[in-house]
Amino acid sequence: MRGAMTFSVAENRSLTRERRRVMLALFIALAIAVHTFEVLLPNPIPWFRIGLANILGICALFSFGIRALWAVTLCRIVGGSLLVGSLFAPGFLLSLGGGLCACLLMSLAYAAFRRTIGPVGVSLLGAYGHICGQLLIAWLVIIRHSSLWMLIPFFLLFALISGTINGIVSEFLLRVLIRHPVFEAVEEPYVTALGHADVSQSEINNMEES
Amino acid sequence: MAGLRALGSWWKKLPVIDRLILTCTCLIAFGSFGLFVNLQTGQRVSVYSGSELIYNVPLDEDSLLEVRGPLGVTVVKVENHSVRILSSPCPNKTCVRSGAVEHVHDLIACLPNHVFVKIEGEENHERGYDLLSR
Repeated sequence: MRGAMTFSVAENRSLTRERRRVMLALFIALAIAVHTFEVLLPNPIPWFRIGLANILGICALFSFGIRALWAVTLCRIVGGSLLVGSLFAPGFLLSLGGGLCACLLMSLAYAAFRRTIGPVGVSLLGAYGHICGQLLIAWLVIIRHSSLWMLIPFFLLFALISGTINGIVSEFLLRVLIRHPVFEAVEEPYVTALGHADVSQSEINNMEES
Repeated sequence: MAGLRALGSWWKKLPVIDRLILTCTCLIAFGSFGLFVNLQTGQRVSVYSGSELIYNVPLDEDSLLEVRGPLGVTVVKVENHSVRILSSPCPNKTCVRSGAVEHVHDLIACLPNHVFVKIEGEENHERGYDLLSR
């Protein structure tokens, strides 16, 4: 009797894990689609991006943890530029630098203030990190001209607006997603799933070992 | 008014850390305008034909400069501490329409006629002069 119970629990765990994998793949696919859509949008100033694709990254972060954020962002940048045809072009370097910096800031903030930080804060940090990474790459690789620094205030203002909007959108999206059974481990958007994910992951590992 | 109330309730629901981040990023964004955008008025005007420096005149003295380019003569006017291109033999007159400039690092270019008008601060001018004299 007891053996049968354990088996069903283990089966449940593996179902949860598979569901997570499928959900993550969906996040990545959607992020690539949004990324491509954003590149196709008419853009008055080449570097101003709304960063809509980051919404998916934030959702992945809040539902599956830091590793999911990195997976979604890196896959999106490589896959998106492959699709647009700008892989390894200067634009790709810019978005890679921006993406890495954004991810770094977001995951640091999430790790430091987990359970108290919300999507808006993470999104704002991501937007600012993106700008820092882009400017760094632009300075190192493309142009070394003092007029680059003149652009910073406009970038920051734009990041402020787009970061806030992205944060609000991700919060709404998380609220909708949370109703789906895949995310039943997450009670509220703010209560991070990372804690649950870590616990269940280690439990799965223990089960596999024993 | 309703919008303001909605904004207020949104702010109240925001986690404390988020509020802190939003405030800090706001401060950084608006503070950076004062830090990085220095609308310093220029001291001198440099007029180039191609890469060759033709004129370097002070910005606070009115003058009328004529520069010869591949298409013909471009007329540059310095007046009231600002500079503009009065006329140019180019087809689309973008340079004429770009109007008057007065701040350091501002630039008017007439690409078809290879004429560039640049505004420089005093220290830039001196550094350039040192380079020339070597």
